[in-house]
Amino acid sequence: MARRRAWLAALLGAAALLNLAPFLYQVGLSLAPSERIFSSPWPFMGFTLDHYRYVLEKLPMWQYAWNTLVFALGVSLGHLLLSLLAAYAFVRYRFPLQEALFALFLVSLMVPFVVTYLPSYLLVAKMGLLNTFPGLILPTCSPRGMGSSSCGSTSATSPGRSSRPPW
Amino acid sequence: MEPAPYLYLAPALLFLGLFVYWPLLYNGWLSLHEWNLVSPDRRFVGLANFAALFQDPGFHRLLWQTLLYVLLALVGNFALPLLLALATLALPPRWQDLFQTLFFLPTVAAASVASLVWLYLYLPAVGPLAQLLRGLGVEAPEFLGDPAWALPAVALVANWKYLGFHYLVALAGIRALPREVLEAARVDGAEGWSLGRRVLLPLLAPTLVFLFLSTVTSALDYAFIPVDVMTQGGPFGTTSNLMYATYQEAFRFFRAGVAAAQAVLLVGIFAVFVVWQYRLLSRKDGYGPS
Repeated sequence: MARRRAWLAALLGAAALLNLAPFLYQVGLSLAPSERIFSSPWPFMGFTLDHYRYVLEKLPMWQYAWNTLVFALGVSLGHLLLSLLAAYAFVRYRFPLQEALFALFLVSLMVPFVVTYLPSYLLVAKMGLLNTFPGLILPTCSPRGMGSSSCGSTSATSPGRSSRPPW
Repeated sequence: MEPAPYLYLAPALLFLGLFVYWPLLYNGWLSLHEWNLVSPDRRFVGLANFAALFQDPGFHRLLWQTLLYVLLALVGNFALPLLLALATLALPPRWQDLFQTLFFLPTVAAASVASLVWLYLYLPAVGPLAQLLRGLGVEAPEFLGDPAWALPAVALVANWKYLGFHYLVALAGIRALPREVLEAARVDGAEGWSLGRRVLLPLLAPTLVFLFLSTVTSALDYAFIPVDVMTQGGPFGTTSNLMYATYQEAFRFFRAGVAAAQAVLLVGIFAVFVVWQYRLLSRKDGYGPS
């Protein structure tokens, strides 16, 4: 048993390392001197922070970071708020059309995003929100597939609950 | 009738309506037209866009490549993470935490950044992979330039990027299994195959269904950025798929009607597949999603 476990750990370790390699390579590359980058498959002999200095001085890095932060926080908050409210309704109440409305959430999961790209773009344009943060954040906030994961976990973890959800 | 649940649902439904269902309907309407995205006149052409697609051998190839992406995702983002999770859970808790971190770590890099790194790794002749293989005495193919290699090479990047995430989902699902049921089954004499088949599998069904469906439905989403960054669908369209081609038709070639028709077919295929799988995998024994 102990030997089998050791083999398993070794195997998993190898897999983890293989999986990690491209990521580590990327980190290593960012610290490697430019002249070595194309000269060998192992360019990690020197060490330099030149690339980081370049990025911070020559590119509007702080602006990028700020944009990312606003977008990510906006989408997360919007998603969280909309999903939590909706999930609360589904779990705490029994109401007419419940299953049909839940299906609307579930089905939205299988609408590929390219399908909604063009009409969403036109819609955002009509709202006059092109090239603004709300124009970027609002369409991404739609709580697609909300609850499909909670559907999996509630039925797995609490099969004997007294107030079972309808699904 | 209580208004409360509807009030809680209203904001979410408003967003779904505006940015998912209205676009879906509008898209269907658009698929019956010929339009270049800017011109004020939209010509109604009926089903001509669909007819043209069905007769186009390029479209048939696109369907096949779409299927390939999904199948490869099922290997790399469904089967593999599940196996890794099961193996991880056979280890002591401290090791579990370690592997959980190690496998999840690479997923923190943004898809576009990951794609750029792989673009570099795949470079012909001077790229690390090519040099590594040469060191082993093998002449490396042009991973992204050779039509035979390009699609698997791109799919690998997409699968690699999301492996850690699906692994976490699998881990969480298996960990959430009710321990008492497993113990009771063991006490009753179930072991090995029968424990796996009769107890573990039904208990795991909701997790499996969720993981399976989300792998299938997100395979093309996941591949989108790697395709766009590394090949733009090339060489000779061999790394494109129904989703990427739809994007190209709309925003590169400005044929909104054709793009919409492709999108309608994409949704149709997805819907049929998802419903079929859902029925197949669902169980009415009180554990599966019924």
